[in-house]
Amino acid sequence: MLEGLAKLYKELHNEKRFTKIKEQCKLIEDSLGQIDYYDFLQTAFAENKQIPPYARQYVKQQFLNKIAQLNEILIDKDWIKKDNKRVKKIAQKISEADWMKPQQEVESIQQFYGEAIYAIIEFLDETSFHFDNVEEDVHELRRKLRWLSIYPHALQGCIQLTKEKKMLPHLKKYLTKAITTSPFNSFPAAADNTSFLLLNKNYFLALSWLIAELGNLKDEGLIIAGLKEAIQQATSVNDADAYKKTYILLGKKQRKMESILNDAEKITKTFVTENNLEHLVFSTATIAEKNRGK
Amino acid sequence: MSNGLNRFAFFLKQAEDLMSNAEKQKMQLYGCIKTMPEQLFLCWKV
Repeated sequence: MLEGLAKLYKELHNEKRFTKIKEQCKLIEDSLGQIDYYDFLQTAFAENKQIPPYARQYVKQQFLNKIAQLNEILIDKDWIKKDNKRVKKIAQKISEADWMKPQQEVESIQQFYGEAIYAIIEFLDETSFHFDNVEEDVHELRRKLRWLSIYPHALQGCIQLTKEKKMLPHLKKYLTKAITTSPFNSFPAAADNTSFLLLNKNYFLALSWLIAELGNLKDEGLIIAGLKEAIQQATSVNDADAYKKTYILLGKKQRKMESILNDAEKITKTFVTENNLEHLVFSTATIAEKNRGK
Repeated sequence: MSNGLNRFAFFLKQAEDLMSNAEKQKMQLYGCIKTMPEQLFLCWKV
């Protein structure tokens, strides 16, 4: 969340200050991501008796190494010990920032969303919707999309969803029960915010569907990539042989990486060519406009 | 106080509590985060 706020505010004002805060927080969140990756592999491997002990041992060791690395960062960068120096430093830096008035801030956030969406479309244009790497393509795209759904939580009430009356037919396929009832798809209450950015509810839910589906595909792909990595760490086989061994160990039901990447390409292409990202942002609103149901 | 400042202050307090808890739990920050409510936990892993 701190990384998200810094990532957003660095585009609004005090770029240098917020970039520094973003980098400090990113270091922690990236480390947590790496620990989580090996934790995920440990759990996935524990469920499959075919996975050899050396592969289990490798992911366990990596999990412990990543925890040790995070702890080093926490101490080196003064997040812990030394009387929470890092937190106090950040608090000091943000207290001196040139905060905008709510209306001006919300208008800047609207522009920020537009630019973030444009960057995602540009990222996809560069790949021509062809994914060949689960981490660099699918996972990276999902991260970029997920930021769009994290900012509303980080901004604590200043982003709200519109009250949708109409449902466009092409969005129906995304609005599954799991998506429409997920607690993650409700935003924090308006609280004491007075200016708002409104997101189109059904387009936001559709985006959540894409993030969830890409998440499932990414997880499936990362099990293959993780086991291949473990095999290559323990034996000196080339990529092709490591993949062969990986698929044998994961069993006949395991789809090939190409099939996972193809599915990711397909759903992303459909979603993007429907121009759903371009319709995500509705408008800004004052509290009076929001209460009138804008 | 500006809303932006309040937002940062809220999450900084959360980070401070989390770090202090992790220190008490012998540096198991990941373990501490995993015991957080799922919604908060997911916010840490992007």
